[in-house]
Amino acid sequence: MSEAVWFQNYLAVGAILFGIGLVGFLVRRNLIVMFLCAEMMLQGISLTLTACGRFHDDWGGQMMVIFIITVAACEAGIALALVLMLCQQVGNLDVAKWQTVREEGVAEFVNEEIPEDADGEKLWPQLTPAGVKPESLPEREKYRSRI
Amino acid sequence: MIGLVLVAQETATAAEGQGMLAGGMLEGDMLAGARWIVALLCGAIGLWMMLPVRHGTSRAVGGILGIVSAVLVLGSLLPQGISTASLLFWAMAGLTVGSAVATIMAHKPVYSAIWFAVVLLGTSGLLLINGAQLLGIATLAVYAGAIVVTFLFVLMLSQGEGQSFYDRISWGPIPAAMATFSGMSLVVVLSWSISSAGEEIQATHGDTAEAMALDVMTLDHVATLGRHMFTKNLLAVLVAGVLLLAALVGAISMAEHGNATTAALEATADTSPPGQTSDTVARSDNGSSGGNHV
Repeated sequence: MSEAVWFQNYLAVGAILFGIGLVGFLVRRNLIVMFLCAEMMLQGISLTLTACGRFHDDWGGQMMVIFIITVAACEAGIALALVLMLCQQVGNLDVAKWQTVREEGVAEFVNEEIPEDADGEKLWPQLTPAGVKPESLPEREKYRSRI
Repeated sequence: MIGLVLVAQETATAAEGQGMLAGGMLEGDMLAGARWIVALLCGAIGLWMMLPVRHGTSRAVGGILGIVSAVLVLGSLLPQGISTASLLFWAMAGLTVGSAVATIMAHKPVYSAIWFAVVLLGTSGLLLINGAQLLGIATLAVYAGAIVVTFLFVLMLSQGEGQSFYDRISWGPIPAAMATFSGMSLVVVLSWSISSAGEEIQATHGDTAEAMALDVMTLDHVATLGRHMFTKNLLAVLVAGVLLLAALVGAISMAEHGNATTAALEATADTSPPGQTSDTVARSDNGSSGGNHV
């Protein structure tokens, strides 16, 4: 591959990675998966920046990726604290639980009928009971049916 | 590490790769452009079918469409010859894109996180063969080693039960189709602008494809990077340090205040049942005012 083709291939892969991350961010409803998709978009940008840095023979591209990694680490710390707090207040990671903060005049999102679990019957391991049965907290049973 | 650099430098010498995917578009080859569009379209439809929304189509068909799209891309590459470096590049690119798709289509968030770790593996491979050694290793260490593990911690803390309905139905098929379409149009526009800038790119570097003495491909990579970092970008490094500190303080204070809020909410819920009197409300307010700052 010549240098120009190499550069264009890297840009194409970066664009595809960014596009997939965008689709995931818009489609998924799990707070954490949405966050993973945002990180994936950052990865696409990193690829593009290093390719540009190599193409122009400049260290600025790699330098910017270092700062991207720094900002991503900060973002991960803050977002995970936030997600944990949100999750403790409503009991799950569904972002639709927070639609009360939507803009005025936007219709409420209503779930279509909730399908049965597609995984078929679940096989839970049968363990021999041993020791004392632990005390289970009632508020934990709200969102964990099996402990 | 040095071997990787050599492989990457060999890339510059390898002339036979001329006219790879983007190279075909570079020459204004309409066929390659059309094939690229069709491949993207197939990929987008397949992606929509594989997404965890309920639309009555099978995910297997989506997988087949995705494979068709990959074959279309590969088919435009094979006639142009294969060098070691390009083989390595396409293997890494395939790994990255494939596991990125798997990340967003997995039903269980834990699987998503693990597939994301594979995306990071692929990305760090791509960074390594592009000459960014420190970044490749840092991506693995910081992202896969720290961030993904923290994600897994939070997932296991917050979602004891394996599968939730919102991971299976998402927002429904039509929003998913709109999102997929917008993602695909973004990639189309980007690759169109890349290919239309092709002549300028060729003019900058030419297509002589001889080994260029690139400064960024130097063998004492980390030393040079460090020199650039602590001379030209010293202020930015300091700002990044302050940012990390602020994020640390912010995360801790958010966790503490959030705990106080949750405790206050639970206290209110416990002490004031539906048929509450003003007396109990007052009492619960008193009880919760201690730790509630939010």
